[in-house]
Amino acid sequence: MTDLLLIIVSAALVNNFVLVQFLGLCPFMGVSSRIDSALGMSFATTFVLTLSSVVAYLLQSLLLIPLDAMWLRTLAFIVAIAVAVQFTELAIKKTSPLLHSVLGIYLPLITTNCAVLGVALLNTNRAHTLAESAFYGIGAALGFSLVLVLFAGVRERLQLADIPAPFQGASIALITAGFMALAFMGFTGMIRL
Amino acid sequence: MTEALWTIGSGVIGLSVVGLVGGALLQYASKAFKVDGNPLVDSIDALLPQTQCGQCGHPGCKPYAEAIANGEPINRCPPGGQETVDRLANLLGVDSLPLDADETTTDQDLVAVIIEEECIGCTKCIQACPVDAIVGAAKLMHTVIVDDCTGCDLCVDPCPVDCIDMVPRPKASDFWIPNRPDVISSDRFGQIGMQHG
Amino acid sequence: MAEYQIRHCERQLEGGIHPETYKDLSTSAPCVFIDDPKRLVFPIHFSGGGPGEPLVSIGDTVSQGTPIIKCQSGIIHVASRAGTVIDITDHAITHPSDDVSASIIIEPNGSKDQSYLNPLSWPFDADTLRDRAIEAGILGLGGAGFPSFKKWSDGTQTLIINAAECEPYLTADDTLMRIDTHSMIRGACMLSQTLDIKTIVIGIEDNKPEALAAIEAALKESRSDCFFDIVLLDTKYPSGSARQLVWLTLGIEVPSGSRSVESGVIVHNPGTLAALSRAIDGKPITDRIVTLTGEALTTQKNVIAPIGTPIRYLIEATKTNPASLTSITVGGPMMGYQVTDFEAGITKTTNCLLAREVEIVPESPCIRCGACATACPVRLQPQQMVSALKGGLLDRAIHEGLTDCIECAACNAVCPSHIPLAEWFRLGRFEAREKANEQRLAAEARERFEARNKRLERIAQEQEAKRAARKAKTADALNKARKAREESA
Repeated sequence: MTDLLLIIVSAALVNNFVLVQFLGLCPFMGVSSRIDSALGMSFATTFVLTLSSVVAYLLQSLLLIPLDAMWLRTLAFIVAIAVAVQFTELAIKKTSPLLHSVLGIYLPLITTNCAVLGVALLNTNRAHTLAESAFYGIGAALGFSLVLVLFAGVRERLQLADIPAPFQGASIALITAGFMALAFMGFTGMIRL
Repeated sequence: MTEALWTIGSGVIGLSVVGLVGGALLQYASKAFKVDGNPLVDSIDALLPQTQCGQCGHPGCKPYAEAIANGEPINRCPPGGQETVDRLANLLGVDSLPLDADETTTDQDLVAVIIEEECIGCTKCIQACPVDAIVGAAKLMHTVIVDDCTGCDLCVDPCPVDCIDMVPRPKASDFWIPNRPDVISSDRFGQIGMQHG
Repeated sequence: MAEYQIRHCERQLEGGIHPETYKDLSTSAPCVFIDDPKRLVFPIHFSGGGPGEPLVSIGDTVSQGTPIIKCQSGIIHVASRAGTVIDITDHAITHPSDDVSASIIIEPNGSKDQSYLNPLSWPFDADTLRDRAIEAGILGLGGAGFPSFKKWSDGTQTLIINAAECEPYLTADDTLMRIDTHSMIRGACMLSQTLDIKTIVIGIEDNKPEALAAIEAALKESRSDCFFDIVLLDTKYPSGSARQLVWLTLGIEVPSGSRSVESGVIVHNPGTLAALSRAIDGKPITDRIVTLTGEALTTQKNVIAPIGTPIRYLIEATKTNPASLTSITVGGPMMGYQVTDFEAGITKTTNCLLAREVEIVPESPCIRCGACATACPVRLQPQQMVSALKGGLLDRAIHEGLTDCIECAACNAVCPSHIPLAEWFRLGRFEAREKANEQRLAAEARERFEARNKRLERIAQEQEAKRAARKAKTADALNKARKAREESA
């Protein structure tokens, strides 16, 4: 049990996927200008990450390893992720068309989010069990959501701040992301995993 | 050789099966999560000023809302003004645009007034008003209910004696605007609104 | 003797500030009547109660108590002295806009002619009291000017007398409670008996011992059945705000967006209740107590002045030369507004004229210290709201709670950068009200548009049905005729 909790803390904070491992930066920069769209995006990514890490593990253990086809794992994982994302997109369109319109192109882009594929592949590399894979996915998603919402909050405030013209927009956002990454370096060494 | 073929073949077949299963799942999901109509239209329509004037090129505000939901530019409503364009941009999470209006359109709050001495009681303006803001009957006096008039000016053209004027909406006698404090150099008043998304 | 209790308030006001009160400045001298001024000015649309229409014409002679203005809400304003209407024209008004507006100008002629209403005899019901309040022009005399009759509905359980007077410099209510306690108690009792209210709460700050003693003495002589709950509040601004007072005295939190009346509580100013008592006896509001205070005036005191007295006349009553002042604050230092034209006449809601030298410090950028958030009695975040308003994002300011702001200006007083927060919020709340109004009108227009479309569709369908029926009938008749022809052939 402690192992699973440690996995979550590690994936969420110590080895945060966005600010420490620098994966999944596309939606991080693209959807974080408002808190409500950031929240919507984090729900969608959480769902996809958890689902796809479990499905990836099952695919790997039930199909790829028995058929000795581990060389196909990237393709297989991408297929699984694509199905999960498409499923999520249909669900969101049904439940909240406004969120669907706000997220726009970034929703299907979760398919190419390197954090999602990264979680699936890292699960393979570290030979996690099913439970460990699922918790690793949840932890990664929690970390992604946390950072996304925090960043959105900062960017909403920055919108009204007196920033010099050359820095307005993407520049100050990237500088802010850099500062946040520096802050997350403080977690280094907390858990060795 | 056969071993290699078997490895590759089994992998390909396995992956194809996975793909087919995923496809079937999505097919089922697309039916289960089917959305009728476009609920986004109502949220868009709620932001439009409801003058039903047609200046956007659509016969009313609801058709324009539907068009926006299908990708039409959001900046074609002069009565709503730049403020409505910004609010639509905020709702849809897109960048705001400057209002697509020329000098003939105005975002001043106007209402129609019938000059009663010249009215001939033909009911053409009553039929033209999209929000039933004109009272009257054939051969009887017509008059505009000021509180119900949205200023769309669709009644002006049909009048055969040209007795309808558009005037600024009258304000209550005790209407007053609090003064706006000065902004200092570090404030960003008016510079935001064009940047979203 | 009426039953009463005195207790200390158990609750503390969240937020709020402790400014220097300066109450002694105007309470050391006794309250006096002033001589009738040479002219009286009554704004037609800004006397309180909404836009109005004049009931007199130029040249009319009026008595004290003749109705001269009727407002949209029904409230009647009367001439405060007998005289002649010399003009109805645009004139300077005592209003935050510091503008000119149509006003009735009356020149008193010194006669004692009165035109009062008939005294009401007990028992009378709530409708009679409401009608009397409308005719006598009873509004909230504490400064807001809300027509009092609108607050009196069935189902009210408690009446709170707002004796806090928390704003610095103001002592008009304090003076009224010292010299006219009986009228206030009588007005409260009559109102409570009419509306079947059993408890009257008096919320009074603990810096008013003389007023408290006067109230106790009056209650000992009263024969009312009501129970009086006197709550001593810690002196803090703004404990006299209606919502804050309801919470401090009763512990009831009035929900955002609703009024205290909807929670079963009426809050009234002491002056309003005293005026109500006089109205029941037949006298409409013709005078009020005004505090004349501030270091820039030569002397400071409270006076009883006729409604419509020009500000200049009151300044001169303190032996100050009006030319030595560029502007004067109407109201207190927190919620008052500047008036520059001293010819403007006081209205029923003018409770104080304050003249002092205030250094204008230029505004600096917000340093996000959060002192304003600590001071806000409604627990809002003024730094967030003003940042949104300055950026032109009204929707975000409303999301932060702009509509709940009570415009008390406590945040103004504590801001180290001297940002005019309360002015931004006043403007923002005005724009929010306008926007809400626009949206309501647009929604109604949409309903009418859709109803019209349905009606036109229905008419088209009915016509179509008629046409089809006629066509069928004609075809039928043609067939019959053809058959008849064939048979005869």
